Amino acid sequence: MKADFDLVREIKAGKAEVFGELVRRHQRALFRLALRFCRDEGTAEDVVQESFVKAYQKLNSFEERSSFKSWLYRIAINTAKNKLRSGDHLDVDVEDVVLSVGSQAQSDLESQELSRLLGDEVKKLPERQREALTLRIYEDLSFQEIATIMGCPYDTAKANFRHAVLRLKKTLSIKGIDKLADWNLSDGQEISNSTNFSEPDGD
Amino acid sequence: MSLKRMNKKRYTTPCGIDEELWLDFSEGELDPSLSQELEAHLAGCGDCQKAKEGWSRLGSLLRSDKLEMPHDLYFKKLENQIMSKVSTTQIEPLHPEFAFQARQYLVPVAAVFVLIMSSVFVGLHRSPVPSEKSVPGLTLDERYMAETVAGDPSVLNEVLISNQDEHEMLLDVATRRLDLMNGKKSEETIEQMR
Repeated sequence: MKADFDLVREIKAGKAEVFGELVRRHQRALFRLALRFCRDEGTAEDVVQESFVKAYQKLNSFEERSSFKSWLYRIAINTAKNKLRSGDHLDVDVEDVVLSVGSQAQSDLESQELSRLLGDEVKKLPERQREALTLRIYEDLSFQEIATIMGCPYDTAKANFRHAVLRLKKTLSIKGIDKLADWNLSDGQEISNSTNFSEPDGD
Repeated sequence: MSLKRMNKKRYTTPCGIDEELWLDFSEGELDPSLSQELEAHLAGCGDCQKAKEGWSRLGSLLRSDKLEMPHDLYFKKLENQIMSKVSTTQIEPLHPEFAFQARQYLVPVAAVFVLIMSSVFVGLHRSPVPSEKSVPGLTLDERYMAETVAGDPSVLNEVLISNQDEHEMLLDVATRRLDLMNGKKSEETIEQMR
């Protein structure tokens, strides 16, 4: 099987039909990513289509400094954000972007409730933290890949993920959800000077 | 490295270990030597075992959420739609002519930029007027001029020059200087006469 880079070179050389292979390879992952951001299959499908078309049009600007997949993810995330901001969808607000939680049938009511609560908390995360969490947890990408996709340094990507998880943990502990799930997340003791700690939650 | 080495953290377990370490540990992002140290500590610390368990469960719950993906047929259709759109568009050129022209101006622009930045740097690092020579109401240049005319910091300080324009200030400084010189000369003359 040819590497993505080889396929890209062939397309640049004029074999447009080869792009179909790249679409087959990455459309599922891209759709899953878009669905996490948009919560709506129709919007996710639009995002995937637009992302691939943009990628094709801008193929000359792909300089192979990152993987094709990372480059494509970056395009898809930006496309999803723009789509949500533009209101070009039915009922999803950009401030209400959520990593879809609980779409799979849960085995019991407790799990459903837990997933719903967790989903609500994920929804409240700052945008960059949510991006890092999605890419790490659901796409299983390395922090280096996440940094490339988010267009930020490695440490920033890692810090965004870390703060997303810490924030979730803290909120769940405060709400007592950890008790519901028989966790033990609230053993930590807050350090008094923690107010000086700045979270990388912005762009 | 120490398990308690990190500051700027929010939480610690009761035994004082930063809980973020467990997150790094579970994500495989911890330094190997620190991982070993942590594992050794874990064996004898119930609080940390609970903390680690908490992180693991949170991670598991997040990761357990799988989206229901459409059937293969859906993606076949999607691929066709994408390729249909791609067939009606073109790969955009990079505009090499523009890139070449822009590159021509790169060195001169960089040189000017460096020159400006150097000037700013030198300006910022000019030695300030000593506090004893600092007089309210004057700009930096005026102070230097006044210092030159006065020749003596004490002369400069004795002249009232707040809220004056440069001309008046210099005149005051020069007058005061002359007075002092005359006064000194008179004293010398008187001394000689004695």
